[in-house]
Amino acid sequence: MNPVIALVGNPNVGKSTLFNALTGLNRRTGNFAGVTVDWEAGQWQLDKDLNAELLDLPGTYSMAAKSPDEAVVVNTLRGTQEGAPHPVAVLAIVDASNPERNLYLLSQVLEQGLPTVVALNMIDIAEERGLKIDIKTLSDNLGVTVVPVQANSRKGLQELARAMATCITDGKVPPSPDTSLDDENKQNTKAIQARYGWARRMLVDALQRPDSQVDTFSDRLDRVLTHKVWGTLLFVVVMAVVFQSIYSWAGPLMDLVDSGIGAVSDFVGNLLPEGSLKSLLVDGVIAGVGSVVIFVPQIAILFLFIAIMEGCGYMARAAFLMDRLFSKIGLSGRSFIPMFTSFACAIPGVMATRTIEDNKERLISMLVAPLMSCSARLPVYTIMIGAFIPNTQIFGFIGLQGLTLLVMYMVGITVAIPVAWLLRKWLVQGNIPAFFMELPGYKMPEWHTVFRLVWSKCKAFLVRAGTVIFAVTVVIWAAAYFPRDAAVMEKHEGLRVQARATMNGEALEEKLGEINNIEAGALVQTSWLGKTGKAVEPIFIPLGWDWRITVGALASFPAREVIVATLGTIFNLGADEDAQSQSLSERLKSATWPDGRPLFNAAVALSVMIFFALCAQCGATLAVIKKESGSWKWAGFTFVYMTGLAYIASFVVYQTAIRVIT
Amino acid sequence: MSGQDLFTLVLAGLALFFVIKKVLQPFRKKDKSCEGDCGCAKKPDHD
Repeated sequence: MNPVIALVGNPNVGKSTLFNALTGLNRRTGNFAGVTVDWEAGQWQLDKDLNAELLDLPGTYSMAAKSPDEAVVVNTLRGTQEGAPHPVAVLAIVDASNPERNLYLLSQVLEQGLPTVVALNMIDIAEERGLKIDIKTLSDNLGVTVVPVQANSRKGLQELARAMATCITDGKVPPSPDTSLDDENKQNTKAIQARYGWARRMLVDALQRPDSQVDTFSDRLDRVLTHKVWGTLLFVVVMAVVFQSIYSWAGPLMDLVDSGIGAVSDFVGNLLPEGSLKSLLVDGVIAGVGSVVIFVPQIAILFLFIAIMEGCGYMARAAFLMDRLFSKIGLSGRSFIPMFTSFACAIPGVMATRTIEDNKERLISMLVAPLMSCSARLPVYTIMIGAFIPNTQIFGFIGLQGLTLLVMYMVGITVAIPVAWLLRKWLVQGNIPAFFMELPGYKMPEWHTVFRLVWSKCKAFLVRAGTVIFAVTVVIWAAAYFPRDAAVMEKHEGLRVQARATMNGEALEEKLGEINNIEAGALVQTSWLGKTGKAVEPIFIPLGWDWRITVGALASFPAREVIVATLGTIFNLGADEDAQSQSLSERLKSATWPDGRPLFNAAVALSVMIFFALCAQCGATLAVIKKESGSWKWAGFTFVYMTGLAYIASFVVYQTAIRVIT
Repeated sequence: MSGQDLFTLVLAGLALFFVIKKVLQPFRKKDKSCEGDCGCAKKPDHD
């Protein structure tokens, strides 16, 4: 069995970056504390004959664990972490730009009595701050091998592997730090002072500091970006640029994908004879899955911006800015990270609450995180905005569509504020915890990390389109196609016979097309889906929805994007033959109520978007809430409050908008 | 009902089974996929 090595260090010192560099894996990294909240193992080849299993652990400032992610570190080093193997050695990563605080944790790690090697990372940032570390002296002082590395540029990795191989082969236990502490005093204030005293002694002849404090680029930038007024204003501007870009940049690519899907649909349509198989492929699979696939360019742009913001260090500043607002509702800036993470997907967002020490704050953050608009909601917003919000400019430079998209993304966070406040007031009372957060230095994002995130998210989106969405589309198609009502078919066949007997030429063709269209619409209405939709339609009529939108929303509980696929299938099956080559957006625009009124307008589009923004339509998120909170009660509560809120908000928005518009 | 209709109905039945399985998967006790589609890596089996 390969020896197991634990990778330990403070938050945001480059543990996962080093882990990825040593193991060749692609663990998520970011320039803010709290990206890693659980352990993961990878194979690290130390030399030709020696392979080790490296455990990447969450960051911690000390071995006195306060939050669930810190407990993972302590439990793993003690061999009590469920599922994790017991390490035989430690690779302690130390941030060279902040050595004293990093050595505090090292003093506790060395007390575990495991052979240890220190990787001194971020030497470049230390030099920028005027710090110089004498590696040999530090190594002699600590009594363990210290290897300088730059994890992001993969420098010093071979030396590190050699040092670790020697350390494991020798099995030499490092000297316990002389902090003159007995077991009883190891966690109190005296202990903190003693450990920092030890850290200073270790560095006294190994660290050369600048004569005066260096005013770094990060310091200068922070004066603006964390400013109460300018920082907040810039945050809004950054967000507006992001959402406008999603529209303006993705447009040409989406048109390209759309025309490709149209060509495939025409090709398959011409190839197959009329029948259920052709309908399944053209109306079901291509119209349904194709309607979703078209959004890949927008997903890519959204994640490009998220990855850049995470990588450059802006995320931590945004959390700092949000602390002012969050403290008024019983949360802190710490809750911003899970919420921001939820803009990509609520599941890692809920898991990111493990970094929150206060249990009550953690629970509230967990319950409101799914309100943030995840990437699955993006297709719903963009199809509605693209079709029903005019592409005009406000003040000559602000695009109305981009602004509406920004507003939709703000809905989640705006609603989360009163919800969190109410939860704090009624359900989870307690004091507002203090917020401490380290602001990492700004740096250029690692482009391979950025593109890896964009690629992995696009891939995940396509995998969903090819699996769950594909399967739901087939089910929806079958429910909307069967049973073929014999009475309806006989009636229209009679009309066709009559037309053929009395007409010819172009007039006959036109009449037959008209009969076919009416028949298609009637067959969808008498299908299983049509009958079910009609039965539940009255519940959603107050939101401005007909049975087709209703079944689309109900079918979206396995995956939100399904609404787009469902609408694609239903409107293709029931659509005019001429309209089948149109994009979904065009088909939605031409859809009508039985009395001929347009089905969609801006009020209905807003109502649909608000419902999807707030509704709990993700079983996997509810399962993670259950796992993280330890109770079905909170998962059930989330489902009930979010779905109820979605219905009420959608009702209010529709009823208000319809009065304003008409 | 034609053979073609029957074939597409069977396909739809299989698709429905897959969807139900996929929806229930995160709620199963032994599910190790954690965030599944959202990109979390699976842990190696240490048994």
